[in-house]
Amino acid sequence: MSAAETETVRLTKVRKVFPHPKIPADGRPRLRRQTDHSKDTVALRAVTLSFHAGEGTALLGLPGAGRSTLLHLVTGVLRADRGRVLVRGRVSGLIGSGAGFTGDWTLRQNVVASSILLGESRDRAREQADAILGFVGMAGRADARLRDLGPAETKKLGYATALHTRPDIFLSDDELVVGGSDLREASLALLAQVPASGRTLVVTSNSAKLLPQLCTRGVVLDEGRVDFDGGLEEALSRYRELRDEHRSRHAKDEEEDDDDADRRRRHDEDDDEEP
Amino acid sequence: MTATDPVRTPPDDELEPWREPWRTGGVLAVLRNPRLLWQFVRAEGRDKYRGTLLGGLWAYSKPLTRFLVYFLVIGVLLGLSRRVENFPVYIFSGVVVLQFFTSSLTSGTKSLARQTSLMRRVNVAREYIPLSMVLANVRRLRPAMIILVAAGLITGWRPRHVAGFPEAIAGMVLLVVFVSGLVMITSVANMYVRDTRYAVESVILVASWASPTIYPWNLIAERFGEHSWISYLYLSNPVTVAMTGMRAAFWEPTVPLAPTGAPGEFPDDPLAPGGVLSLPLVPVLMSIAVALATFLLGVLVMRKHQHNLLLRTEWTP
Repeated sequence: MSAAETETVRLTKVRKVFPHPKIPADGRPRLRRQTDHSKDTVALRAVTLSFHAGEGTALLGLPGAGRSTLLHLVTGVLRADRGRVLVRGRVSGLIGSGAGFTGDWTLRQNVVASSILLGESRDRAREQADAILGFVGMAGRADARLRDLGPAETKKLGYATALHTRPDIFLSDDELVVGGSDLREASLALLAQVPASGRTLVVTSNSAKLLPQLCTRGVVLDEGRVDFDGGLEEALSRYRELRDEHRSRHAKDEEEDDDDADRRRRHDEDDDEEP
Repeated sequence: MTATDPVRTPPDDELEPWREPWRTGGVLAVLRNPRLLWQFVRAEGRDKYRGTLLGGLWAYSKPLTRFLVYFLVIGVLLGLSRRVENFPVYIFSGVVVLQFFTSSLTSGTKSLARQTSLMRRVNVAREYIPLSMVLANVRRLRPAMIILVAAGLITGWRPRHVAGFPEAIAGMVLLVVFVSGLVMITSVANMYVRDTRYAVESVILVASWASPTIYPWNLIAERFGEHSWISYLYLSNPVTVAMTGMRAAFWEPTVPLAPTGAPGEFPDDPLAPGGVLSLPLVPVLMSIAVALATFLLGVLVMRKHQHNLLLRTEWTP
């Protein structure tokens, strides 16, 4: 199959800006239109990228590089300000705060809704929900609310739902590096099936341990731009360069800026190849 | 391939057309995938009384109490029951409609702000959220309807009295369309200015007196004149029309009044049988226009704003 035929996600000169302040500090909305755009957060600047069926792609980058925004644009939760996002096939995945629709609903309601959203009939969705909940050993808790589940369990359920509903394009946020070792193994096995079965996998992670098991291609994003696009190994080393650059830059003014220290701490946790 | 297509094409079998993921299809998508809408409605309706001793019985307590209070205070104490035959059923058939309207509007207005996490997690048409609130409130009518039928059975309504049912159903459909349009507008407005929900609560208070819930609607005609614009405005309120329909079904069969006045005219005694049809035709048509226009406006408001809604929260991916 030619590259054009396997292409399932296409971003063309995509730009996404988050206006600042969305909610002013005092929480009171302003009726006047905001005119000062100097503090807007530009999450993506003219990103052009394609993802392909049968290919696992890792999105690497420092926090704030625009990886999550990119995935949210592909799911359609966000809309690009400029440029165009196109997809072919059903999109699903585990992004941001978790699986399902809402924590207010029960596990079963969430799983059933996810199946119906991907086009299943009601009866089929119910059967699937039973199978999924049984698979993750939560059949007895089907009527518990999703928000009462621990983060690791939520993810487990999310992966199981995504596996059973078989989206054509599967997106995963940083989440795969979280959780106990058996969960990690199980999620990895499920994720590895995605490209192997001819579907599209896009994962945002910086983990040199996990990514080689899933991805062959690596894309490094930096400050909203595609910094590198190629083999996974080169992408990982390019990412390390960026990270070290960032650290040395910030080591100098460490004391001055608490926010940056916070960001860096989060970034370090994110990175599981630390000694 | 649409979302409802039961047979899925394997990804590499046949090339699917490109689509822009943010385009959710809006209201049309909701109509095309009623299963998902129903799932929203069901999820909304469940476990409201979870952990309570009496459970689902509480659903009956609110309409019953409301009914008793209105009946005792306004009917007995203020003496309106002397003016209107079978006042308990008259008032309750109005209260049922009003209750539906107010609870749909309050919960619908808050719905989008409550479901921002859903909007971040899944890309579904945002219209599902306010519309499912309205339909969840339709489902919650059941206890009140059971009480209404019971009160009717005591006062002379019999199951063979179904002549008014089409009017009751048509009136409720009209009201559902109207309130769906309203909540699509108010829930979006509430995402921009959180004051909306409080403003809506005040408006509802006014609205509950701007419909013939606890007094007969000829009071308006008597006070302002039958063909005055105030009377027309009052009668073209879909809430009024739905109440009149509900009364045609459950109240009129229980009262021994003969029809007066020519059809299509203001009747001499507006409490005569005839339901919606006894309302003058012009206000009924106006109320249909009002409901459809509100719905259309709601659709347009949702369509214009649904992709800005997440920017109105404190969330950044």
